[in-house]
Amino acid sequence: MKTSELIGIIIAFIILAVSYWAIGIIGAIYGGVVGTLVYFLIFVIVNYDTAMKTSSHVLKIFSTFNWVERRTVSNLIQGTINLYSARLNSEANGLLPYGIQIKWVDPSKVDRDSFVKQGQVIVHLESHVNEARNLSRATWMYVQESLIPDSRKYVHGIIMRASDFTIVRKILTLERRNDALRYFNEEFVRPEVEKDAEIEKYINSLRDIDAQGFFTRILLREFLGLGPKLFPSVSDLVSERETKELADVLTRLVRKKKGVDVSPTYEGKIIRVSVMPIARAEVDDVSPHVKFARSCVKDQIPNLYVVAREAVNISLARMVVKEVESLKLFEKISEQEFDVLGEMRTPVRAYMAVLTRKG
Amino acid sequence: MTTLKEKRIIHAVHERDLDDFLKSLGLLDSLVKKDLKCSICGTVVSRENLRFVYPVGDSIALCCDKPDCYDKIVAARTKKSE
Repeated sequence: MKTSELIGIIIAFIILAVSYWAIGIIGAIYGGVVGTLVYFLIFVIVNYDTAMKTSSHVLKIFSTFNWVERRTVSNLIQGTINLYSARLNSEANGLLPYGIQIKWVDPSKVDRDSFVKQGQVIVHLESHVNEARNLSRATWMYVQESLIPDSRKYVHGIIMRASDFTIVRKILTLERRNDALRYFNEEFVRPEVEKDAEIEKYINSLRDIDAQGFFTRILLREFLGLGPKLFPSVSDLVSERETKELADVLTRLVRKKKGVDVSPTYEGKIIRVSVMPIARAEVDDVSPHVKFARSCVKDQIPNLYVVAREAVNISLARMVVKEVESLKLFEKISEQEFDVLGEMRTPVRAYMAVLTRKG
Repeated sequence: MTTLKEKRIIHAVHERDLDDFLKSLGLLDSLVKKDLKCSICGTVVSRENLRFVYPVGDSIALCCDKPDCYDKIVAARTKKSE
């Protein structure tokens, strides 16, 4: 239970108790109603996007009224997209810097001249009965406009396209909207895959990278850094090539079989990054990892990602990060634990620390 | 988890308001007569496949729901917002 929910319950209970103490049984009824309303209000304020999404399911019942019907459609789209955008930003800050807001056009206030002058693109959305289609289309539109907006022009076209597809599928999967996901695959992904086999190859690569938690936390995070580095150039052929090569390096890394050596480092002109997996072989010995961190410093790698799976490796990874920081080799920017899919397709606890070069 | 403060606005027309909206723009009769075409691929536009309505210069253009056409409009919208 979140702290905000606990505070809401405590406040509601205090209102109930005080009312009962002051007025008796009538007070208890009165306090119960008021307390529930206060809790509900706190919940809505703290979980605005979830409340908006949930409200669309209630509003649906009264959708014979046009205003309610519009709110049913827009609340579901806004709530879903804003909720999961915030969640993806918690994996790598700034991936989706904008939320979404739907403004309905009032036909009675529109005329041809004002429409031409305002220059707005109007999207036609269907009734809530077709909410899967609306959600899939709106999410696709939103992601193409909002995913790493300042950096996308420096990313290889196919990789950016595959990244957009992967993020939309991730949002719809997190929301468990199989109907919208199916519709998205049929309407947008399949025609593209049929035209270009390479896009399919990279959609599959990014799916595998994402399954290990590297897609948003490493790949897109590295892409995100391109905007500030390369602005104001309109495009950059070197960065386009390097984004594709980085995707290839991460694909090889996440598909690597036990005992096979795969380089965890990518050294380009613009993107220079290394991944340090902490495996069981060196349990309780941080020295090989510190040596690796030193070699990254020597090779002028600015970003180092320390990754580990399962408790024993995670605890060693934390020790490695501490040691690397104390030696002033790298500085920790962030660290997080999350679940990834293990070899048996079961959830496994994973850890990642983002380290950057000091100075 | 924080709520995203800055929002990208999507202007939308609901299918229940579509006829009135097109009427306000003087396009409803042409739509009914199947005289309107997608400004990108040339497909005849109907209520079912109409996805976007947008101004181009002094005139108004429509776009159908084909993914390629859809993408071109989204790309133009993105360019405009940059």
